[in-house]
Order: sequence, then C-alpha cells, then structure tokens
Amino acid sequence: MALPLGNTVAQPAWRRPALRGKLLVGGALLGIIVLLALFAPIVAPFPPEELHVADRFQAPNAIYLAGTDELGRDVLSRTLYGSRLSLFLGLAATFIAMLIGIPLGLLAGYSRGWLDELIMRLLDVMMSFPPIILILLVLAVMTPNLAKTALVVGLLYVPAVARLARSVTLSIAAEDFIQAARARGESRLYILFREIMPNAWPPLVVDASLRVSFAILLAAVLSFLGFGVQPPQADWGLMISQSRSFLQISPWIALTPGIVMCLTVVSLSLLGDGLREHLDPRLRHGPGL
Amino acid sequence: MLVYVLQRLASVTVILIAMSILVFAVVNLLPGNTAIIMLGSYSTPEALAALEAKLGLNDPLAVQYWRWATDALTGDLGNSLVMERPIAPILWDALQRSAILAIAAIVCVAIIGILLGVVAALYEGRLTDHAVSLFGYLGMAIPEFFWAIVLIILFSSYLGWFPTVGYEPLSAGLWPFLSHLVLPVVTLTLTLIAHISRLTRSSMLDVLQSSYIRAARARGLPERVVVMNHALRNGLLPTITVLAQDFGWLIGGIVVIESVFAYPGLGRLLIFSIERHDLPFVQAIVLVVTATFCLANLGADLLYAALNPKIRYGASSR
Amino acid sequence: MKRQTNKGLTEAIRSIGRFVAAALLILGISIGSDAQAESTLYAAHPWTPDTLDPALMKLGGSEYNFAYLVYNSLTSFNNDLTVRPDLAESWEANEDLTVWTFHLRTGVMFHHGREMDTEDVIASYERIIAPDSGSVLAADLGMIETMEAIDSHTLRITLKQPYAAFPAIVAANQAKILPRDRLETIATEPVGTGPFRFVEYLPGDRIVMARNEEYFEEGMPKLDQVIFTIIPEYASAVAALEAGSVHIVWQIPPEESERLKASSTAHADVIPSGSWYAVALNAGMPPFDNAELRKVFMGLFDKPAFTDIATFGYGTPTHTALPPYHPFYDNELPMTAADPAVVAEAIAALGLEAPLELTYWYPKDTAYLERLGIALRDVAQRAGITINLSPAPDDKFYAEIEGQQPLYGTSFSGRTTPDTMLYAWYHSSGSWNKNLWKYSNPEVDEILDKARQSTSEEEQNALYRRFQEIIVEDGPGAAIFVANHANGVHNSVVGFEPSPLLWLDLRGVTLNE
Repeated sequence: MALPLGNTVAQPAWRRPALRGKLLVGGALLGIIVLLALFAPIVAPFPPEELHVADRFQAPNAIYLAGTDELGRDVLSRTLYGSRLSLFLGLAATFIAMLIGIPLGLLAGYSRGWLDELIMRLLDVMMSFPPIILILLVLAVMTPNLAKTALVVGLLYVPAVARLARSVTLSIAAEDFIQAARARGESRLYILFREIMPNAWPPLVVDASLRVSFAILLAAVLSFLGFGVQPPQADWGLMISQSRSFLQISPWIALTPGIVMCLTVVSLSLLGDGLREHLDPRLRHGPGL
Repeated sequence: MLVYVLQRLASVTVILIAMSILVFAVVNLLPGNTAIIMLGSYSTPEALAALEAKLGLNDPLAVQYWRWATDALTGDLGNSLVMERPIAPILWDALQRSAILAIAAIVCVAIIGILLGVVAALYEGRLTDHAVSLFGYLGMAIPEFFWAIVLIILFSSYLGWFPTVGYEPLSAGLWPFLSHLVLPVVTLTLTLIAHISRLTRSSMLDVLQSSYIRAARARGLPERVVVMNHALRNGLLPTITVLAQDFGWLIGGIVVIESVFAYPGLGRLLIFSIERHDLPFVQAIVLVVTATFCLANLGADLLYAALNPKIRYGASSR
Repeated sequence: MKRQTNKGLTEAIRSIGRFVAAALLILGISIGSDAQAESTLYAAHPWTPDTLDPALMKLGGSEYNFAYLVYNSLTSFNNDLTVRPDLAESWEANEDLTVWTFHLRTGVMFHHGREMDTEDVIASYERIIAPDSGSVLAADLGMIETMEAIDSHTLRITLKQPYAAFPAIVAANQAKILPRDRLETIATEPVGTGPFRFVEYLPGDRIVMARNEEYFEEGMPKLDQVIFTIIPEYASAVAALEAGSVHIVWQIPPEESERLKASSTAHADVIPSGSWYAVALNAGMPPFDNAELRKVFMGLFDKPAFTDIATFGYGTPTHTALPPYHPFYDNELPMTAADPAVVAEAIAALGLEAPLELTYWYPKDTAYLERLGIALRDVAQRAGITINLSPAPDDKFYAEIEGQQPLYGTSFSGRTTPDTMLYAWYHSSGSWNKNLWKYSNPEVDEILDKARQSTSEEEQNALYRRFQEIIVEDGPGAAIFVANHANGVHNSVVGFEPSPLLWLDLRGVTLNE
C-alpha cells in the first residue's frame, strides 16, 4: 500500500505569478531596509546616542517620528543604527557558516568513503546539541561581544549548511558531465570548485537567504538573554530587551525595532521562498531550519 | 529493522559520548576557575589550594572527565557550586516541569500546525491559504520573547485571564496547574507553528496531486476518507522528522520563555547557573538537555522507520 | 469537488470543537474548587538566593529577606536606623567602649525546639570570624578580641579597639544567631528563631516559610505562610502583582513605580534608602593618580542632572556616601557643576601629554550605572573628553574591573552608622578604599579616626561636615546619588512598612481579602 511520496515535479501554471510576487515584495522590502541601514548616518534624524533629557518618553510626533526612549534618544535613529548591527550579525554569521560549511559539504559529498563518514559524524555531534544550548554553553565561559556572537552563531549553522552542500554535491556528482570531467583526469579541486560549485549554488543561495533571517532572530534572542551584543551598542534584540520594562508606558521604544526586525525577517523569508521556488522547484520543502 | 535499530542505537551512543567530551572540554578549557568562584573574592590562597585539592581540580583533565562521566552515568551529577547542594534532585524536578511545557507545546504545535497546513493545502491559493501563511510568517518573524511580553500585557494585565508567571503543581488543582501553562505554551506554539504548517501544506499538496490520490478519488471514495485516511497519512511522514528537529528549537525557546514567565524549569536553571558561573550545574544541564534531545531524535527516526518501510533497508543517513 | 473537501474537514473541526468545549467545561468546574490556603503572602524577588546560610550571604534581596524572617540577630534596626533590641534585650559598654555586655532575651525557642542561649551566640560568631569562613562579615567581627559567657543569657564581648557603634555591627544581615547543634546543615535545613520557620526551598522557584507559633514577640507574626517566588522579569512580576497572584514585589525599578501609579489594584511604596551610586576616579593609577586632574574632572559631575537621567527622579543627589536625610548631612554645601568648556580649558592647562580618552566600566545589569555613564559621556564629550562605555558581567566586574581600572561606576547598599557608611571607603586604611580607589588624605584619616571614637554627637556632626567639604573638592570620584527603594504592594496587604535597609518586615502584616 505504501506508495512513494508523490513528488510531483510539474507546477500548476497558475501558481507562478505568486512566486514572482514573493521575490519582488521580499527583495524590494529588504533592499529598502538595507539601504536605510547603510545610509543611517544620512537618513537618521539624530545621532543615535544624543540625549534629549527634557524629551524623555515622547510618543511618536513630528520631531521624533518614532518617539523617544528613557533617555530622550530618538528611537527611529537608534533603530536605523541598530539595523546595521543586526544585519551585520545576520550576514556575518551566514557568511561564516557558508565559508566553512560549503567546502566541508563539497568534500564530504564528493569524496564519499571515510572522509565523508568522519565529517558527517562530527557534524552529527554538533547537531545533537539543541541550538541555543550550545551557544549558551560557549558564551557562558566567555565574555560575549558582537564579533563572538556572530562567530558562534555562524559556527552553529555550519552543520546544516554542510549537509545541504553535501546532498547537492551527491546529486550533481552523479551527473554525466562530472563523470566526463573525471574521465578527463581533472583534479579533485578542479572538479569541486569549477564543475560542482557553479551548479550547486541555487539551493545554497536560497538557504543563505533564510539563514540570514534565522541568524538575525537567534542573535536577537541572545541579546535578549544578555549573551549577545553588549550595551550601550544596541541591535534590535537588545533594544527590545532593554525597553521591555517600558513597554506599558512607552510601547513605541520596543515596538519600533520589533516591527523593523519583523519586516526584515518576513522580507528575507519571502525572498528565500521566492528564490527557492523560482530557482529550484524540486527543493520546495527546503532543508528545514 | 533490527539491524537499523541497533545501528541507530550505536550511533546515538557514540554521539552521546562525543557530546559529553565536548561539554566537558568547553567548560574546562575555557577560563574561569571553579575554586575561586566557590570561595568568592574573599578567599585566601591556602583555602583555595585546599579546596582545589578536595575537588580534584589538580588531577589531569582526562581523569577529571572520567570521574565526571562515570558519576553522571550513576545519576550523580555533582554539587552545585553556589547552592551547595546535590545537582541531581534539583535538576530532576526542573526537568519534569520543563517536560510538561515541552510536551504540551509540541502537541499543540503538531495538532494545530498540521491542521493549519491541511486547511491551507485544501484551500490552496485562496484567502484562507494566504491568511495561514501570513500568520505563519508573523509567528516566525517575531522572536518568542517579544510574543511573550505582548501576551503577558494582553492576557494578564488587561484581560486578567491567566496568571502571568510561575508554576503550580497539579496537586494545587487542575485549573491552577493548567492556567500557568497557557501563556508559555501559546508563545512557544506561535513561534514554531509556521514551520510545521508550511511543511504539511507542501507535502499535502504533493500527495493530493499524486496519482495515488487521484486513483482513490477515481474509485469514488468520499473526499473525507481521501483526505483523512489516505492523503494525511502519507503527507505526515516528513512532518515527524521535522517535529524532532523542531524539538531542538523548542528547547531553545523554552530557555527564553521560562525566563520571561518565571517558569521554574531547566531553562531558567541554566540561565541562573550561567549568570552565577556555576559550571558544574551548567555542565549537568547541558548534558541532560542534549541527551534528551538525542533520544527524541532517535525516537523520531525509529518512528519514521516504522511508518515508512523504505528506510528500513536504506542507508543510515537521512 | 472543493466543496466536498470542506465538508469532511468542517466535520473534523467540529468534533475537535466539541472536545475542546467539554474540556473547558471540566476546567470551569475546577476553578471554583481551588483550595484556599489560610493566609499566604507571596513576595516576588528577582533572583534566587545563593545560600540560605546567613553567614555566607552577600547577594542581598531574597537572601537578606529570608534571613530577616527566619533568623534573628542580637540587635536590629528601626526604620529611622536607630538600633533596637532583638535577641538581646539590653546591652552596655564600659567607659572606653572596648567591653560590651549583652543581656539575652530568655525563653526564645529555636524552630527545632531548643532554647537559645549564650553559647549559640558565641558559636555563631566564631563561625564567622574563622579565617576560612568566607563570610563578608569576617572583617567587621574581626574587631572582637574575646567572647565570654557570664551565664546562660549574658554575654561579654571584648574588642581589640574602642568602637562606639558596636551594637550596630552585630545587627548585620550575616550576624544571625544559629543553633550551635545545627551549624553543619544550616544551608540545607535552616533553623532559626525568627517569626517564620523554613519549610521548603526550590532553587530558582520559591522559598516556603510557615508561621512560627513559638515566636517571642507577642501576637506576631500574623500571616500563616510566606512564599518568596523568584521572578527575574520586573514586568512579569508587576503584572502578577496587579493580577493579585503576588502581594509584594521587592525593589522595583522606577518605571514600574510609574506604571503602578495608574493601577487600581496595587501601588508602589517608595522611600529613600542608603544605597549609593558613584563614579570612581581611581587614585591608585594613571591618569587619576593626578590629584589636580581628579579635581578638574569632578567639575563634570552635574549631580542633579545625572540623578535625574539615571533614576527618573527616584533618587536624591548626595555629597558622599552619607545620605541626604542623615542629620550630619551638610545641606549648606553647594552642589555645583562646571561648564564643560571651562573644564576643557582647565584640563588643557594641566598640560597632559595626550588628549583624555577613557573607558567607563559598569556591571552590566545595573541600569542606574549604565544611564549614569551615558550622562557622563554626554557631558564629557562637550568638554572634549572621549568616554567609551563598557559593561562587564557582574562577577567579572567585581573581580577584575573594580579598583583595577581608572574610571568606573559602582554602587553600595546603605550602612547604618556614619562610621560604617564612610570609614571603609574614605580612610586610607579602609578595606573598601584599598580595593576601590586607593584614596589617601591625612586630614580625612584624622577626621574619621576621631569621629569613630567620639561619643559626642556635636563633635561628630562637626567632624563629618568638615569631611564632606573636603571630599566634594578632592575625592576619589564621587557618590552621585542615593536611590529610592520601592516595593510594589498589592492593595490587599495591610500593615506593611518598607525598610530603608531593603528588608521585608512581614511580622505585623496581614492580608485583607
């Protein structure tokens, strides 16, 4: 009675426009956020650390578009500057994960045999930790800061990236043109990086776009718990964390970075989904978190 | 099947050993002297040396590891540095309370997530589908601590429906027990549900369009039977594995949620012991949590194998 | 086709709905049956005790409050910081203040049923004084030369040096009287003489205490049970307070006090406390070993403005660690801050080699000190001085930063006598001074030594006023403000008075349901 999981390759034609919609909306939104973060010094109405003690706890108004916080700092400006940290964390962590994970996955997937076993088992050990627990364990014994947070989050994602890279490599390595290259006597490095890599990027890019959003959220959680970015620097997570006690009297202090973070993550998810469905219909289920 | 089970058991054992070494290494190789922490800043060098000898901190690391690991196997997790009492009973109590939270949440995630996913698949492309997917995006895009705070303000402060914080044992009554669980479980569910519902939706879509379902429909089976008996059963298979993966995220979520809701579980103990640098306690908690996670994964793998005959003979990697 | 699908599904949803409705009904019935314990007061604290052994306590909060309810000292404090009898009914000293005789209350029973006597006091103090005790009180009780039991309820203590305020020393949180036959197990099975006896401790969750029927103060305590719950999030704790599931939230931050102003079910009890917050200019290392620079730099401390920024008006600016409500506080002394531009010129005039760039360190979860640093940085910037803020985890801060960096923010809880408030911090031989900022001023030393041995209030007053004048000009940094202490209190709580020493005095409290 067990029939295969019916992996229909063909997409109903009417679903296509939605895909482009996702890509477009996600990409545009993300573009705006990134631009705003990049040009924060120009766009932000106030320096992020400037105190306006007389204007503490101001609700959003014409001067302070998103209100002020407990020290009279402009919430909008701080959120814009905070974007830089959060985006940096997300991108840096993802970059680290890919920098280490992709070569590992390629190597494991292409060489098979004992090397594959060794790499995969090591990664299994890492993956057998619940994600936050491993990070907390490391940060428990070190003093946290921005760079360490990015590094630790990045390392945490290495196994997932490596596994994806490996499975992609496995399927590509079976293709004819790889067999041909091998028959030509090309070196392993050449095959890995000139033949397989160029064909492996679509699922990896999709994965990366989603991973950035996971990393941003994870970094925010770490900041919230006090193990991430350290004050007085503030990423979105720390802004929310520090202003949570003012949530009832001045909700805008936490809500502004909260909403921007939410928009960023949604736009990254949309972008990732859009890319995934656009580039590689077979990968619709994705590799999971 | 037996071979597969043995294989998985063996690999989990290896992983557990490797993992315990890693936990031990992280805590012992990175700076932070246990004896200094125990005595506080008022310690004299003599007292420090005596204590180090008593704790066996001067032994080679391998000896210390062996002692720690074998003690842990017999259920002795050592003593808390700051609370000066055995770790195991405290940890066991907290583990039970966390387990209640985790199980309640995972059940809610599974039921509601699958339900939403099925609904979305059946109403594919329509308003309901989009609503479910928007809901999912929001759940995912807002971190649990933010949800938690919003829920506390809404349901405790304004509406006064549920207690905000803490925990009551079942012996205090059914409602006090359940009411303390509602908000934490809702928060955890919100953040995890999107993953399951999206996965269910896409695998249901695949199944619904498969020749197998078309055949069932062609045989004139009622749509309800088709959906419930045929499509769901096959569509759910991948969900099991993902639920096990989500369990890892759930544990992370629990750490955060327990802080915000002052729920006395393992997560809060972990944060407490990290803040106080109670390293033996940190070690013990991480060990127990990770072992639980491994076993959950093992369980999911075996269940998956039992349900899906194909894998019984397949390679060990999934 | 789609229509049919929906039907199957609707039915499934409906049957789930029926199940949920039934479950809710059962729940609804059980709501009413919630067994009401007699009168139980829940008090929320932000952190769990490290220890229940009073001698080893140093965290404060839940620890000291537990100690206050379960144990007693020989003496204690009234809310105006005068010493009151506790286990000692009375005491007297010889002429030169070196020999103190305490007369113990008779008939006081420990929770395990034995009467407290002089030997218990001696055993409790010896335990603290022992070199490896690890008690923060070891140094203070170290002034004891000998202890002698005159009879079962009279104790004579001889000091190594004269000390006028010795009865205040034995009121310390750590100096609790423990049963000498239970010292070994005191941390896990606490036994004392206090109004409540220990029942259960679940670390990170709660401490349960029950009424001590044998308590020596007539008609007290009135509550049947006290439960300390541990709630790290203030917002959660205050929400629980408003909902009535917690009756008192110990020490809430100003923003929660503000919030409670609008509450119909709870309020904030705010009183001044002795807890003081300071910016340290470490005289023991460059650049602040330069006394001239220190003097100029202190011109940046606009205390009223800093206090406002850091505490939102829930603090009072002060000259030194002596709080503004103390009788010896010098109200005449002006509190001035220089124009940043003037400070910039003065610093330029000092001819330093490099422009000043400093790091202000602070323990990372102390919001007051963080905001204090932000305020300082803002003013300093206008004087052309760059200050970077750097938070450190608490344990690292106290072990590696405090006293070992030139500039940092720190805080202390209030002491009870002028001598204990000041000596250790400003006298060149003071224990805190050596740790914190290595300040040395012969005139200050002389004043503090004289005041400590003086029995004339008038003389002490004059000495301490002169002391304040000096410190404001030339100090090792500055105490900026003393903070208020606020408890969130549910309206059903009757007879609760907040203590400036931050204790929860629940002896006479009742609940009005």
